[in-house]
Amino acid sequence: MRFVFNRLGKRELVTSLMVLIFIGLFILPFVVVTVKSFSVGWRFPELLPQAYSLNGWRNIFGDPSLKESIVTTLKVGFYVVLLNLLLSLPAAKVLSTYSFKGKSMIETFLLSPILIPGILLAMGLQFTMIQFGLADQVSGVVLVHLIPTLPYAIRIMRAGYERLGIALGEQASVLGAGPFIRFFTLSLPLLLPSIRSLMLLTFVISLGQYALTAIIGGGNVITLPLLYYPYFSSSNEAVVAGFSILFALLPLLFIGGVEILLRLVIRAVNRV
Amino acid sequence: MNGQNGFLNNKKRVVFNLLPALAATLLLVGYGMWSAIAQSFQSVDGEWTMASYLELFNSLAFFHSLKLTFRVAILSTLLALVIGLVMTRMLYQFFRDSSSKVLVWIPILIPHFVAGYLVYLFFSQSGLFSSLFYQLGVLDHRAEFPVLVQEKFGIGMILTYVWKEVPFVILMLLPVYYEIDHRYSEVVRTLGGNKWDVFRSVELPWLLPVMVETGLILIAFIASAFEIPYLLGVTRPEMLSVRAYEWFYDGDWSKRPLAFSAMILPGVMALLLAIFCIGAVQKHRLRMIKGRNR
Amino acid sequence: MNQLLQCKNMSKHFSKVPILQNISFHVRSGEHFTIVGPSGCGKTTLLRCLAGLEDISGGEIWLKQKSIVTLKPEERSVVLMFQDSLLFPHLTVIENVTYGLKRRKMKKKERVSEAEQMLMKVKLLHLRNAYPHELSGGQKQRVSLARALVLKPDLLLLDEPFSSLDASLRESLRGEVKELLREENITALFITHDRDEAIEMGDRLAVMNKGTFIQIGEPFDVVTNPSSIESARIIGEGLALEAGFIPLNKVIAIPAEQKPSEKDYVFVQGKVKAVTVKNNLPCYRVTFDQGSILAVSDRNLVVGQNVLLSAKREDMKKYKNQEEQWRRVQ
Repeated sequence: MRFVFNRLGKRELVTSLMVLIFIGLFILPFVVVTVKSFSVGWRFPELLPQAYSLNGWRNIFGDPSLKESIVTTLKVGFYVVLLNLLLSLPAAKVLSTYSFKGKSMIETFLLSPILIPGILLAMGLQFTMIQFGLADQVSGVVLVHLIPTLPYAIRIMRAGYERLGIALGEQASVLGAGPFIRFFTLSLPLLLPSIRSLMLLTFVISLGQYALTAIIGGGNVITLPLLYYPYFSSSNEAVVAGFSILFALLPLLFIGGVEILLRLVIRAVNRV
Repeated sequence: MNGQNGFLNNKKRVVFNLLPALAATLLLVGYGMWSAIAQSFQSVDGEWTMASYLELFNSLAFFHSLKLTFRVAILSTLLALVIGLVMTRMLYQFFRDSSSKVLVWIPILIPHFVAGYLVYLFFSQSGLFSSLFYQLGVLDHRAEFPVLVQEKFGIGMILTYVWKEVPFVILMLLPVYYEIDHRYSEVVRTLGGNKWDVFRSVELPWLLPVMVETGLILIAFIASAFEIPYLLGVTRPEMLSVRAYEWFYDGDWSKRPLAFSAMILPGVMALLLAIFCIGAVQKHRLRMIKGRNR
Repeated sequence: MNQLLQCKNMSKHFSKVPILQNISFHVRSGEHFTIVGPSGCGKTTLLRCLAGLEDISGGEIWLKQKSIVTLKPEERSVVLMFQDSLLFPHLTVIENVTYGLKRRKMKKKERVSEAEQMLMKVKLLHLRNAYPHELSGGQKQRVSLARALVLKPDLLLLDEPFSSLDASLRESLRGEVKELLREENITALFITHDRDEAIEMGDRLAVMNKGTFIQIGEPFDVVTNPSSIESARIIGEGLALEAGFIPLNKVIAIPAEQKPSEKDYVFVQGKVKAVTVKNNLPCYRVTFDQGSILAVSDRNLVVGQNVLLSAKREDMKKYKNQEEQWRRVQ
């Protein structure tokens, strides 16, 4: 970013201003919340905290139910992301490559989970899930988290495959690479930006589900959001702030771990 | 096809690859929807009845909820689309380099209810803006700060949704802006068009399908989301989703049919709207894709 | 001679629209075979069928006396070089060139040394660690060629590999590629819509139109003796008329007023559209109702002048097909 205002034209000035507005609106609040999580009793009408301490964070990590909940949340998120990848990769590839009768109908149908109220579907599925022993289980929660995530996953991968095109794959196949090798040497590295977006978005959406998790998890599967609501009305504001930051940190942690793994795989298959 | 080739033929391959995603969607949406509709027409004892719908239509509270739900959904969506469009248009050059694109992803990272907390933190009567105005001497007491969160109009919810969805709109629109062949803008300018003409004849045709799609997703999502209203809403009127959730968990299950029918109405409306819009946009989109020459 | 590739009655249709119809031909070992035809005639589809990227709807393909119809592209010892270089953007030059060798489970040392030798032959060894986006168009095409040649495929298919390059680069690369293919003793099948390229690159040449081969032969024979009016229009150098073909060097443009006797001469009415220079001689771009050619004249003509393209009747060559038909009728 350049903040050198002299020698800038009107257009650059407007852009820089807009960037500042964007940062002020969307990034600054995070800084404030981070500061708040380290503050002591920062209340109306103080504009800045009067004292700082680690008490808020100590409280958060001292709560044993929270540790357990982080593990559950990561587990649910991991399976949701994995399932989304497995379902969306083949579907997106076909949708981007072939045109066939009824394609737009299928596309609309695949988008429908985010158009129909998720809470309605979860309520509708609850009884059956109980019958099949999926309710009150991580597996049931993972399944129901597919509702708000799968359409995005398919959409993201589809756009990725469309950008990739089919020519490079054909070139690889005439050079002797089978479908399996083609996926690991071409699709995976070249679709990495899309895969990264998919994993981040589906993880974040899964992380943000309260109602679906509560309905299907039935109080047995305690993910972080289920703890957040009681915390929200608690009096210790530093704890709520710290908890909020935790929600932004978890996806970063997750995506960081997966990224390292993916890069190792790609490095391994693409050596000279 | 001579069928002797080792390849699956195309038709089989399409079916084979689409099947897992289709099956999952059919199970979750198809079955979930069918089950929800069935339960909305049944009493607790399993008798078929329209009672829940009749009760809803005779309830003034339900119509207040419906009104609030639509108001919040439509206002939030429109504001998010417009602000998102303006920001994308001004910033797509800036976001072209991937390190600055991280900025857009940051607000996406947090769940909606954390965004709700941010709005509460800044806009409640004892929030930071209230503090700021007090320090500036504009206010003598926190009660003089307008009630923005947890009030009947839903301003807090709208603020939250707009804040959370603007980055989403930007992320949806950015690829479109990179896809637009900006030489066409130059063509329009050399043919004597002004900036508005450029937007209308070069950008809008590309943006329209994505805007419609994004708008649909947002409206459907906001109309049925539970997390924000549960945090920032008031008890009377309640957003429909909260109403339904409470009915669903109402002690003796007798209110369950009400929970289903209350959510089915906005669901069906969103679906009809979607089918209509997607149908209308599809032709337009095909024409755009075929007409592109590079 | 050893027939490396044989195609018998090959046909292909996309949802009942025929693209290729009854194509039969063979390519000898070490031969360079070119196929020339207008765009949309099915050349690219033919190559894709040979490479295995498309199924054929009927017929047979034999490579080294083995039917390859049922083999997947990765199982055929056939490499296709596309119009665009299609280098893998996330791999360096050397990684691109070794890509195919690695799939053959060749040892790392061997594949690197093979790839380096091949890069040396295309004069790009110094760029071995560069990424594709750092290369020029010509360099990309040469890496692409190296990547194909290093596999020593039984058959190399080239789909207009020079068409994305500018004219002078195209001509120099053409010679280089021809020499390299000869050196490596590679059997190559080459398609193009550019007649000069087809004639220069091929030991034998096939003319393709609307999904079928209309003439196969040595380039000189095909160019000077087109077998039909379509063939003459695609590859012939001269005046393609319904009645026969007149080689360009026998055609002369004369002012319309000086009409010679119809008994000894054939002529076509035309109009001078432009004056130009070819081989240091003044030439005239003359359009007539079926096209346009560059003709010489023994007079000074001006733009806009009505002329007659004329030639001695004895210089007109009858199309072989017609002769055969007539023979059959009689």
